[in-house]
Amino acid sequence: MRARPHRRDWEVLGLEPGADPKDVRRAYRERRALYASDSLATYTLIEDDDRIALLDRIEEAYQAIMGARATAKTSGEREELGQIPEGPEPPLDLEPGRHLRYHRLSKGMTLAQVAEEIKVRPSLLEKIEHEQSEQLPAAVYVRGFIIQYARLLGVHEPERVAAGYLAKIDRGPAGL
Amino acid sequence: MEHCSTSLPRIWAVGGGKGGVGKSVIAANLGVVLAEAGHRVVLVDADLGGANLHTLLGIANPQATLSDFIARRVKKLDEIMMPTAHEQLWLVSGARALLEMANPKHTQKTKILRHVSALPADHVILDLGAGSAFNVLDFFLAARRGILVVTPEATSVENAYHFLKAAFFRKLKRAEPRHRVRTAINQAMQERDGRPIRSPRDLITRVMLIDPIAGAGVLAESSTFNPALLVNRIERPDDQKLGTEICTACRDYFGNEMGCLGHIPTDRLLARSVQERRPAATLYPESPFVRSLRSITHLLTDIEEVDLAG
Repeated sequence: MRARPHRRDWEVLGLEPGADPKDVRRAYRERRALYASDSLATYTLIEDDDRIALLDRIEEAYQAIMGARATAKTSGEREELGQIPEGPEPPLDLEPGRHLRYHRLSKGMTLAQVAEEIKVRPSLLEKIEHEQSEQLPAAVYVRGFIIQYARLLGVHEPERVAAGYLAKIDRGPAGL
Repeated sequence: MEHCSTSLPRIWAVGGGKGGVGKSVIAANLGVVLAEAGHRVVLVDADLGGANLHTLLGIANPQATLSDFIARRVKKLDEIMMPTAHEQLWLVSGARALLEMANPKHTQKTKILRHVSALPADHVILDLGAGSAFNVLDFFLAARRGILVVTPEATSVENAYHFLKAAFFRKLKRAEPRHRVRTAINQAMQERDGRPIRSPRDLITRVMLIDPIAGAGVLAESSTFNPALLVNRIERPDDQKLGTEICTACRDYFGNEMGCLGHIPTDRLLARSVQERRPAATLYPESPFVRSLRSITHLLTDIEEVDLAG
């Protein structure tokens, strides 16, 4: 992940530099839908490999913008939220739920906002953050939710986060 | 409403690549709506070989048509302007064109366009044929603004994109200085290193790096490519997004703003008006189709005012 977004990252999402995070998330969601392989609006506009390259570029731009935001957030802005992530980033392998929560609070997002963005119930997100493994759905769904969640937060390598999370909570004999 | 009789008409072209998306019906009703707003309007049926604007306006047998003009039986285009049921609306019919006229030669096309831009009217609306043949593209590009009609179907979207790409590259070929532009474009297309060219926007960026003078020419030419999109025959509320989505994708792809004119719902009354051979704007002025078209017409003339001011 780059330390700060380039001008081109904002352009890729069709935004002015410094746009509101809410608009960044909306633009990101819209662009992903627009260039999805089943999108009517871009049917035959671009070749399949260009489509994939473009989706990667959208992802990269979003990660760059949201990643930079996390580090640039001032203490004043954090205080407004009332919930400041304290201390260092909880390690993914030991505390994956708190790891996600830490990144969410760094982004200044509430559970409800995340829930609306990735279309899951807030209560489920809360269970994910608290690693209440016995109350979570099947691993395959949890994996999908976490990838979306991590991606929304701009966390590096969402797949790795999901794998780390499942490895932590699913230590029983059932496996995956 | 004020008119300056000496000013040139604003030329609109209605195209879309695919047949049957409603180009002619939209052109005819756009004409009626503008005429009813007090403008002098001439509809030109440029769909030689598939002309039917006269039928939509209830003129069964046009006396003089574009074919007379092309065959030089009449000298000026305004001699074949036919009155319609609307006081302020005239028709230049494309009916009875001979087969070879479906693809007029370059000189004929230039002559038609020259005469069109001198018609005594406030607005001229060109109704184009289907497809992306050069003569269709040239009429589309000659207009002050081209209106691209699409319907929410994969076939229509496909033809619309083919049409837009063809029109865009046809326009780029006119960029000056021609020789330098051509050389720079060829060089850009052949370069294997660096980022791949995935869109006209990438191409223009590359040309600017290769030769700033050619780049400036290409940029100037491409920046005046600004068709307006109209989504016709939407069925579901979800279809409403299609217009803005296509405009966003076009901005990403071509690097240009495309005006989004909005959408028109499917309207059963429309089929009846075609059957009656009278425009829906006359028969059913409060139908969903006509109401949408009326607000689109306002938008279209507003965009134009802004453009003129800018």
